[in-house]
Amino acid sequence: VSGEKISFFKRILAYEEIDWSERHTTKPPKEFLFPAAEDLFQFRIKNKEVLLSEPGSHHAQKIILGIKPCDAAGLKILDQVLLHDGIDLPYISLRENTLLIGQLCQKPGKYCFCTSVGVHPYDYHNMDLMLADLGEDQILVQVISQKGEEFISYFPGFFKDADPSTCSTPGQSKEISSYLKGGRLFDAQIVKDWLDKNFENPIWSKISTHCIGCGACTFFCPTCYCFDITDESIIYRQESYQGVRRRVWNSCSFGHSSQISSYLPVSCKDLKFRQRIMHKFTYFVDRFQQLACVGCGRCRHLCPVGIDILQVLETIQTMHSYSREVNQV
Amino acid sequence: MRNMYQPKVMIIEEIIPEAPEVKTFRLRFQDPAEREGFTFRAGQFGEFSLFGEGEGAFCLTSSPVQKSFLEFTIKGMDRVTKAFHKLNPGDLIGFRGPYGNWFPMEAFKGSNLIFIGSETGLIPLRSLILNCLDVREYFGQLTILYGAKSATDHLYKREIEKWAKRGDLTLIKTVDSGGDEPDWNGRAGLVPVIMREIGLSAHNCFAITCGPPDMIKFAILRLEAMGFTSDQIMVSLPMKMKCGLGKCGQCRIGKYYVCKDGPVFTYAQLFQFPNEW
Repeated sequence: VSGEKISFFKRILAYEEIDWSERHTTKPPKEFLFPAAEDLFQFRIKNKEVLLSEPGSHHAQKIILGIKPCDAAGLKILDQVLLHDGIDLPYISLRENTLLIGQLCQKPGKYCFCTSVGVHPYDYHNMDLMLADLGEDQILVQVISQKGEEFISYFPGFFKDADPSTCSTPGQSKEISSYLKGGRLFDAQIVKDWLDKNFENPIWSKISTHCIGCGACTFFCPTCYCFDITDESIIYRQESYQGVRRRVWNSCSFGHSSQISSYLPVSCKDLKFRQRIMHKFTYFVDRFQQLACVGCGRCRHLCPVGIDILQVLETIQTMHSYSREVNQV
Repeated sequence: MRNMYQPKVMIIEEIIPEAPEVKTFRLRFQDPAEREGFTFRAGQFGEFSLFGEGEGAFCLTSSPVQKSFLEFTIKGMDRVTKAFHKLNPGDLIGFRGPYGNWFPMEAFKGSNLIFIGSETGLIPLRSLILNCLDVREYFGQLTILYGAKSATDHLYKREIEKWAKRGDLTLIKTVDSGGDEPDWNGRAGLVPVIMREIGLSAHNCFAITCGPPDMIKFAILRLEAMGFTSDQIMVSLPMKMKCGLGKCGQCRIGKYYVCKDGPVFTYAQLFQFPNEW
């Protein structure tokens, strides 16, 4: 749906609410699978007895309609972290009960750079169903996953098999063709090589001078997953009370992530900024063999002081080629 | 499927004051069946929580062989640890774990071991020391070098006295210069300084260290100067961890997660870390 200034996903009550925008929303749908604050479990303490219970509201079926390829790729990255090597129950119960109905991206925004990080505006891989508007009141539905197939089978007669001779995927929009022509703006491998060698570099403090540590870049990022765990409780008598243990989003731009007791290794904003770039473009690659960035450009768009991740990556690329030339001389 | 964030309930059996603001908590599972199935290795940690206050990752400090109880030691520093310090025997707390890797006891077999700890850095080593004393015959010489600000800040005082009386291990205690009290019978000076004074032989020996990062760094320098290779130096580096499961991203150092890849590292591994610990 679209608000006054920004577009976002929300539970809708009427068809008219849907904004069939051909560009990704201002706010990614991450919060429906990995909420900003999420109960891990509830506790009730009564006369020296502890009762723990699971949060029960997770199992409502949901459809995320109109998710764009970049945001779906972002969920793939969350899957890597939360579903491998120990399955995160709160996440998987939301994930398994959510159907992703995707839509091609036809109008990349001016901040987008997904092609540079290996995401394609027509990529359908991470969805369950993919919609493509063919015009003339026809919509092509591509069935991608088992879950998508099951969903289709609930509505016999509603869908018609597509005739491959008359309907194929729609042609590229003008915007997309010119966007794709732009090609890759930087080489992720070169960036990684440079990052691996330049943990200490004056560039970090230069770039982050204006950072105010608001965390918008990470909270609007479809791939950022760092979180903190806190308790909330209501005490109504000394011996008996109840509450919840919650996970809340955390951000590398905040002060208190990563510390050894009172000792703060990542305390200055240049170090925090470095951590964000390093995590996305080298640490995550080392661990999961993929980038933790989908090129949606939200962090570039929303940063209140105009820090531009693409500019940073391009600068890194330039510095890499300079240093190579210098070495050859 | 089990919710891995949900803890088991444990009862505090005894609270032992160790030093100002440092206490050891002795626990047992509320459900005795849990104890039966529970094992851990020296060096691992657990997530201890107080319902309504929060959760913290602390090393398990009792011996893995000890089946009747579980211990952990903490200093009152922040909201959670201070709340722990207000508890009484009989109170209930949450526990999940064990998490992380452990000290390679098999590799230690037949070698001399030197434990170098400073301040609260003895806490992560205690389980290992107790474990080594359980099977004393497997090891060569055992040496414990332990320093703290002052004599009162020394942890596990009664236990250390007992270890000293055993006769089969060498104990060197030190306090920071100026921290010695009239009846102090140990040395005075920072741990790395004492290391130089006493000299250590790297032959067939592992050095296991833990403490504030600066102490670790200087201790490693000293050990290297004495001929220890990077595989002979082990460090326990329990950073502030949150989930303990490699998910939340709080305890990372470079690409490593302390909760998954650590908290026990060899210096060879530590050497790969970017300079941010």
